[in-house]
Amino acid sequence: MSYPPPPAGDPYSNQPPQQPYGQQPQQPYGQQPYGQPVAAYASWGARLGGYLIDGLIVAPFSILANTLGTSIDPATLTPSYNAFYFIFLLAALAVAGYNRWFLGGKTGQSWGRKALGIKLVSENTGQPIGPVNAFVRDLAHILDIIPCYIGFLFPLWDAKKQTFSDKIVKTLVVR
Amino acid sequence: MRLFSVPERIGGFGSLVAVAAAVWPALVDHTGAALPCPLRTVTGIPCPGCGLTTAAVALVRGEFGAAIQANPLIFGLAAFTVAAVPLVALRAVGVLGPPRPWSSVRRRQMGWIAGLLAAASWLYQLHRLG
Repeated sequence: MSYPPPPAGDPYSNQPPQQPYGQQPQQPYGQQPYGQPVAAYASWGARLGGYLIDGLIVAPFSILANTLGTSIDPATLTPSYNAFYFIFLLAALAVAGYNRWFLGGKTGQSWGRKALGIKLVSENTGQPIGPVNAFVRDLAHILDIIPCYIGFLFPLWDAKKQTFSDKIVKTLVVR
Repeated sequence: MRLFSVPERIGGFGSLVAVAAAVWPALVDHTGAALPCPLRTVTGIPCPGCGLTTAAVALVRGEFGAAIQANPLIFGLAAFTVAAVPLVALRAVGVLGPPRPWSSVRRRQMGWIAGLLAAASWLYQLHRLG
């Protein structure tokens, strides 16, 4: 059961008045008053740099998997995969998982983001989002890719510099 | 602090694309790698951005006709790229003030314009490849 709020100006009310006289009205969420620093969202370039570094870390494993791990039958031209392929692929997955999902979720900084001085945080709490959400966010990158990769370009003009996956998982990348 | 306005950022992206398009053929000819359209790969339907790789490569080589034929949107990106140079220079010397964010109304209007452009481009690509 809820009680109606006390009338405005009630001296016995222990609730603060809604709009104290002389105080500036609250800015709508997401809009910054002119002249004040806007929340320090990471630039698109820094985000791209972090993403590339995270990719480069995994690249040697993928290259090894595709060179040492595969052989192409010269007669039929069908590739066959040996044990090295799966070992290096698992290694790539383990490194990517530790870097992007465990570290990225726990601290907000994968190695790439750390190098560029940016951080992945929750839009609501401002804290790192945890390994599970970091994994879901990377899965949601599929939605950035499907419409001609446009989701990856959204931080160029988006008010909060978010990709589609950021909007879905409710995350920000900040400096 | 907003250092660069949205057109300048898109222009900066455009110059990255220009550099990438200049080295792209050398990369692709050796490795056979490509930047496929995900929508077309999955569903077979071309998307509004189809042909942009071809168009970018053609434009940095100065083949305007080939660029228009592949995807005319590349000229929009090229316009941003060219316009960003004087904008950034004027801001650096202090002639232009720091960029101010647009109102939500103007943002929405620009969203509609971009959407219409994308729809027009989609029709063009459906006609070209469909």
